Order: sequence, then C-alpha cells, then structure tokens
Amino acid sequence: MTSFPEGFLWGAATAGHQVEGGNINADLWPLEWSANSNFNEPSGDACDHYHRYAEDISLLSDLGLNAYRFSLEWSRIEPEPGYFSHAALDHYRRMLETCLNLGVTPVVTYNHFTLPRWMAAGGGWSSEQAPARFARYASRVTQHLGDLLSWVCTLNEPNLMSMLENTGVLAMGAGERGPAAKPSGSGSPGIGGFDPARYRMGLLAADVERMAAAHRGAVQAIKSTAENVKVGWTVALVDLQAAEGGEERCGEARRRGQTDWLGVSGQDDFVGVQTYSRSRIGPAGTVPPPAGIPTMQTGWEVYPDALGHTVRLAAEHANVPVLVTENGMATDDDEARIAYTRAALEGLAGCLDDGIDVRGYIHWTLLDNFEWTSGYSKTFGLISVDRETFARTIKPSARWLGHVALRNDLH
Amino acid sequence: MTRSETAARRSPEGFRWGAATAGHQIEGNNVNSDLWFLENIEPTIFVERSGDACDSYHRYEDDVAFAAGLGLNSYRFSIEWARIEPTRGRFSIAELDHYKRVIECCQAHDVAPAVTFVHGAAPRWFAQDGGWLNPDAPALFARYCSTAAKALADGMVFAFTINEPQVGKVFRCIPGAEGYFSAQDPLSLRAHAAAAKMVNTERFVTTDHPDLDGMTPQLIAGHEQGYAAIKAEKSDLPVGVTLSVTDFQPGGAGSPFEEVRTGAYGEWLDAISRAGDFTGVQSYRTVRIPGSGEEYEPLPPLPFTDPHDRLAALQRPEALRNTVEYVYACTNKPVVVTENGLETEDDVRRVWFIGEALSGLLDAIEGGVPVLGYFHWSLIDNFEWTRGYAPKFGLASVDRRTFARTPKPSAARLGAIARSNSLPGGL
Repeated sequence: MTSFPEGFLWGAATAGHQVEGGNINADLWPLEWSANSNFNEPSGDACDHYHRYAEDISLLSDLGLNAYRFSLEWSRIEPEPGYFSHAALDHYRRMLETCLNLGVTPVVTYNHFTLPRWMAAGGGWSSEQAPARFARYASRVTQHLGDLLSWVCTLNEPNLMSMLENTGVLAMGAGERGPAAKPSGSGSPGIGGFDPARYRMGLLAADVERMAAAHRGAVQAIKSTAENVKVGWTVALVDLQAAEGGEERCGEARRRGQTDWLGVSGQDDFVGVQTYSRSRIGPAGTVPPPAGIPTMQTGWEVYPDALGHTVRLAAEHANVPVLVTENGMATDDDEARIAYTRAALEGLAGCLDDGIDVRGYIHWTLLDNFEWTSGYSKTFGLISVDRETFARTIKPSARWLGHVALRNDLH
Repeated sequence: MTRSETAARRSPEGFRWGAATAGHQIEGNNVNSDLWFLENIEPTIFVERSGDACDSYHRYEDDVAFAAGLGLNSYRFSIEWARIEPTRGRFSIAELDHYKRVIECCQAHDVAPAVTFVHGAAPRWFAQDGGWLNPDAPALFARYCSTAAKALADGMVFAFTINEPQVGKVFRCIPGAEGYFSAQDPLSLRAHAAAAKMVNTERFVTTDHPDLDGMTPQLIAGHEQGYAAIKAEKSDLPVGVTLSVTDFQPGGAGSPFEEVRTGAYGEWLDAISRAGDFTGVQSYRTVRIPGSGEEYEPLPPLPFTDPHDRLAALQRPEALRNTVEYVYACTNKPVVVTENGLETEDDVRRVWFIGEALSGLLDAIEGGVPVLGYFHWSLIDNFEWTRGYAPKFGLASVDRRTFARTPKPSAARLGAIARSNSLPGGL
C-alpha cells in the first residue's frame, strides 16, 4: 500500500530561532556573537519569517501541504520572568489564523531549544524551578491561543543531551562541532549573570525525570485550558544499530537515550518522531560510517530506512499514535532529497500497512535556515531563501512532496 | 478687534501638519535597547517597564491610518537603532525592511514620514561601550545614520538626528528641580552601575545618565556627523536636530533668564548653525527665572487649569510662540515644531490648548518666522520614559491589553485645523 489514511497530515516544519530572525532576547543570540563562538555564523535576520510568515504559509499551502509545524519563541512571549507580552502572543495568534484561513493544520512547538536569556541565566532546564516556569509559560500561551490549537509539541527533542551522553551521537541541533559553546572572553555581549561556559544546547537536562516533569506540568497546563488539544513531545530518534560486539552498549544507549523517553509519551495523545539517519554502536561507542558511503552535508549517512525503523520503535515503546514531526536531508542535490524522502515514505507506508497508527508526516524543513552551530551551510529546505532579499525559491522537492500530499499517495 | 471677529487665519501652503511618536515609547518589546535593560533591573529609575507599549511595531498601520483619517498630512516617528544595528557593526536588513514598510504605509496614506534617527533609546551594546561618553560615539552614530539613510531616506520629508540631546540640562535649569535631581541622580548612577555589573562591563551609559557635561561634546559631534551622513545619502532631504526648548522668561527684575537660555541651548544653536537645515523645536512650558530685584506680577491663570498644580501651571500655550521666535532669532533658520502638547487627563484642556498654541504659532508665522510644520505630541498615549504610562499626552488613548486606540475630542480639533490648513477665526 502506498496510499495514506484519510486526514493524514502532510506538512513541513520550522523552528522560531532558525527562521524568524532578530531573536535577540534568546539565550543563543549572545553566544552566537561571543568571542570564540562555536557558531559558524550568527542567526541574524535568519529568513525574516517573523515578518514574512504569511508568505511562507501561503507557499506551503499552495504546494499542497496541509500542516505547518512551527515554534513559539518563549523569549518573545515572556521577555522578562513573569512578564508576558500580549503583543508577542497576538503575533503568534495571527500566525495561527493565517494557517487556519488557508486550511492548514498548525502543529505548534511550545519550546524548540532556545530559552529566554533570564531562563538560561537561572540554570535552564537543570534548575529545579524549570518545570514550574515552563508550566506557567504553557498556561499563559494556551489561555491566549488555545482556541486555535489542535496539535501541540511541548518540548523539541528533550532527549538530545541524553543521546549525546549515551552514544556520543547528536541528532539535529548540534552541528559537527558539538553542542557546547566555548567560554567567551570579557567584553562579549552580556547575557546578564549567565555563564556561557556552562551552556549546552537548550540547556537540556540529560535526566529524563527532570524533563518529563517539565513536560507533564505543561501538558496539565495546556489540557486544563484546552482539553481537546492533542499534546505530546518530540523525540530525537537516531536509528541506533549495533555494530559487531556492540549489542550490549547499543541496547543500553537505546534504552537510556530513547526508549526511556518514549515511555514518557505513554500518557500522551501522540509521540513526535524525529529522525534523519542511523548510527552504529560498537563496544567502544559510535562507529563512523564506512568511507565512500553517501552522506548528507551534516556528515550523517544517507539512510532513509531510519524513518520506518524509528516509527516502529516509537509505536512499540510509547504505544500511542505517531506523528512524524521531523525527517529530511541536508543536501544541495535536490534530486537526492526527493529520493531520500520517497524511500523514507515507503518505510512509513510499511508501518501503516502493519497497523501502526501514524497521523502525519512533517518534513524538516520548509525553508533553508539557521542550522544552529552550522549556520546557514546545511540546506534541509524545500524552499531556498536569499540571505539579503529574503526571496523564496521553491525547489523541485517541494513540488514533489506537495503532489504526494495532494494525492495522499506515493505513486 | 477681538479674535472672534477675525477671519480664518491660514498657515503657509505645504505646511506639514502632524503628530509625533517615538519607537521605544510605542513599539513595545524593544528588548535590545539600553533602556529596556534599565527598566528591568534593580534598582530602577522607571516606575514601570515599557513592555508591549502600544504594540505599534505590529500595529503601525493603525497609527498611520488614524493620523491620515484625522486629516494630518505628516507623521513623525522614530526608527530604533537597537533593532537596526542589533550588534555593533552588523545591520539587520529585516529591520530596515520593516521601517521601509512603515514609510511605504505612510506614503500609501498620503502622510509624509518625518523620521527621528535616535529618540531616547540606544542599542544595549552602545551603552555597554560607554554610550555618549564614549569618544567613538559620534562615529558609531554616523555609521548607523548612513546605513539607515541609504535604505530609508528616499521616502522622508524631514530627518531628525537626535531627539532632545540637551533635555537633561534644560530640566536642571528649572527652579526647584534641584530637589528632584539630588535624589534622582544618585539613584540613576546606582541603576547604571547595576546594569554594568550585570553585563560585566566597565560602564553602562544611557541618555538618562547624569553626566550631561561629559556626554554633550559627543552628542554635538554625533549630530554633526549624523547630519553629514544623512545628507551624503540624500542631499535635498531637510535634516536637523530637535531641541527641548523651555520658554524661559524673567520672573523679576534682574533675572538671569538670558544666561539660562544660553546655558540650555547656546552650544546647540551654534551646532545648528554649522549643521542643520532647520531647528526642531519641542515646546511644552514657560518657566520664570527669578531675579535679584522685585518679583513680577504672576502670569494670568490658565483656564481649565488648577492654579495650585505647579507643573500644570507651567504648561502655557504661549510657550510655543515664544520659543519658536526665540530660536529663529538665534539661528535665522526655518523652524519645525517637532513636539508640542499637553500632559492632561482632561481632554477639554487639550482642545483648548491646541487652539491657543496654534494661534500663537500663526502669530509667529505672520511675524515672519519660517515655520515648516507642526507635530503634536503625541499621536497616542504612550510610555513616557521613567514616569511610565501615567502621563497622558495622546490624541487617542490606548487599551493596554487589546491595544485598541480610542480617539479623543482633541484629535478631531487638530484634524479640523490641519484639513483646512487654517485656524477658524472664532477661537
């Protein structure tokens, strides 16, 4: 079977800091500019999606896609602790209205890595106050936007640090130079009491209990205001495979870095699956891909089967409906992107054939964007963006995916 | 002959009728500015934070349409340096595009944009680098002016470099201000020191810093270099600086009011003679400087005004004519009234004030002063700096949660004058 269920969500994803531009009050902004920054370049204007979202959502809709995953920037909505910006919430309300007016289902991530500077200064997710802070934020957001929401992802890839600790492998978000920013010298842009040397991407805690508490508090805050909204979190699922002699190590890494986190989703309405590639684990840790095999711009093996494999893993361990919230390929060869995505979708169709409840496929990403420490060099987008005029150019892969979406069928 | 018997008095053809705002006071969430930081630190000199302000960053079209609907043909607003140059030396094309859209919105509504390049707030990095105490400040400001003008100058009717660079000096000349500043200055120094400590820099200097004498040479050089930078991009654009001009008058025999004027404006009027196509005059009050000799009779009481409210009693409409005439006499350059208005909760007073002030302005024009335009402060109630949202200067009120604008009767009053380009005889 290559056709998909009625009502299947076909979408593309973005994240605020990676596309909006001018996200000055976020923790990452000063790190991007600090001396000895680990970022290849600063995010700057990004894709100016903050002002051009209506054009982008129209493009997505015109292509034939029916879902748009985007994130809310906490640092805009709560620029100072306990002070919530109605103006920022109104901005995101206009984004949601734009989606709904075009018949596009919004899939909204409440937090996609970046934190307000004050939250980072207060220890980020490792602070004991983090769950309460996130719940307060989630509550205010839902009060303002809840009537327009249908799918919410609380946290994006909360297992990222855990994956790194247990495998040495990072999924999206870290780039090839690792997640830690080097300490900045004096005279760097001030962050206000926050030590950049302690920074980790999203200041995520590797501790599943801590992150689950933050998630659970947010779910409760959201459901108490908007009970019909489907809520889950999205898990970074590199397809971990045992290399020779690595069975035990791989199993342990999969458990601690992935399935413990998928278990948290057992109480949710869905689990978000985010996957790009595989990684093979030997007795001493990650085994690099053999020389000569095709890789993405990120250095990851081109391995579309990861999607079917990890959707099965998620369904088995979370036992709730699956929404693919990210999958894609960093490449400047758009034909390769189509081939990758077609193969990944074949794997996904196989999951559906086997009775797994998959609700949608959201491609990473709508626009070539700011890929964290890698800057703008890694192009995952269905649409390219001129860095000075912000002009959008639709790639053939975008039209291809739009056709699949419109036919709701791969062939 | 009384006023009621005169015919309608016309202002010159091409006169710019407008209202004024400033970015930090209306846009909201100017988080990269130095003042946002001072608003959110302990101790603070602000009674409340600017926060969302009027959300004009997103709702500028509402503001422009409101001005246009009243019959105003111009709108004075500021572009925010902290948005356009978020990091020193790196300019945001997206934010320049934003302000380009604001200018295009004005043009679409037949409202000529009159643009201030820096109005109160500066980027946080600028304050961290010493603000206007930094010897590099004039060059930094000029680079920003050059970049902004390259992108935006084409649509402007006037450009203003720096808003009220000497306002602190003027306030310190008001008799009785010593008490206020003796408490405020130490608090301000502590707030600035706390900000510097927070960002781990030696200094954090905003325009609210009390070292006015230290900042003034850089402010003057900044205006001159900014003027040159804007003119280099568009030589036929009228460019000037907007001064806070209090109508200092003698309060008794032997009053040193002329020395006070010179102290408050002299160096700036000299700067305008070197660099300035006009003088921006911002006039709000008449202040009498006591003399060594006999005290003069008190000024006649103002209608609609509590005579015991000392600050309200200073807000005299004749200050506008007096200051415009004084500044023209000193500079011999055209005048743009870039701000004039009344702080009051009672819009009946504002309706009265507008007629009286403009009548005086027409007296000045008829007396030969070339006045190019009048901008009322303010288009909408807004964030009045350290005093927060309590002072009401607007022609419309703004709901602080929904951001709905509600015009006041004074808006219709100013609009009627602007539409007819004249003051009806029956004032």
